[in-house]
Amino acid sequence: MLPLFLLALRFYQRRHLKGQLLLAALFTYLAYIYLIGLMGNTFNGLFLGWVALFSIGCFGLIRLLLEINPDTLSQKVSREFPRKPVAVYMIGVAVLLSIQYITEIIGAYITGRPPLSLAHYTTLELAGLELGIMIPLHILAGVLLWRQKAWGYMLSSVLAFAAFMVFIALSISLLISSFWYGYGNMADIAITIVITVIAAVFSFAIFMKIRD
Amino acid sequence: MKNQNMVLTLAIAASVLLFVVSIGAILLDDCGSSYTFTSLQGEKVTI
Repeated sequence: MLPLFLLALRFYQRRHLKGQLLLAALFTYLAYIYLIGLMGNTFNGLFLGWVALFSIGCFGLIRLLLEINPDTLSQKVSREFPRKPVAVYMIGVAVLLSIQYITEIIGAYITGRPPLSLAHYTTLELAGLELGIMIPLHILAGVLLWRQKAWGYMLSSVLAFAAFMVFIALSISLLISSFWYGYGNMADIAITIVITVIAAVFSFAIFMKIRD
Repeated sequence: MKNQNMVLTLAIAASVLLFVVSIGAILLDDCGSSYTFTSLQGEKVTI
């Protein structure tokens, strides 16, 4: 994340729109990942650090959203901006996540047994945040982008970059767990890496099609 | 300009904090997944 922060700061100081979007995505990543961290993990010595990162992410994102004009963004994207593929990608991510979580939750309701991913946790905190925040945001971004609305460009750009960062962090963490500690299975790692590559391709395509 | 300075300050603070938290996670060895405290009954509890 640190090299991405340095890159975003460099663009941002030069008042480039790419810098604003990249920083907005980084703040989104911090706010979301550390909200999951501080709510889902056992209390430990890093708790206050996670709270601080969550807070910085939230306030940084709010400040940046007040600064970026979505109309300017929609004017600055080139005609080759992959609008429809990105809109389909947004909806696709929302549908896949919905199927994954709803299947698990409905299965638990029907069988009366707790879902497997509950493990030692008290609730499905990640599923709750995905179903309540990320999935609606992805659907909104996809629909608005398909209709060529200014906020569609804004939301989809930030979400695509943030998803790329989440998946790359997840891939690295799965690879470390697998090779160093022997946890996890290769199918999960392979699926995560494939999703990371897809997210990277869309993020790069968006980044290259913004005229600054 | 004032808004830009605020964003820059937050971004730099986040970078420093990310570095500190990452080093902290490595030092805690298990990514900080356990914590030992004394319960109200005086027992040492590790979670």
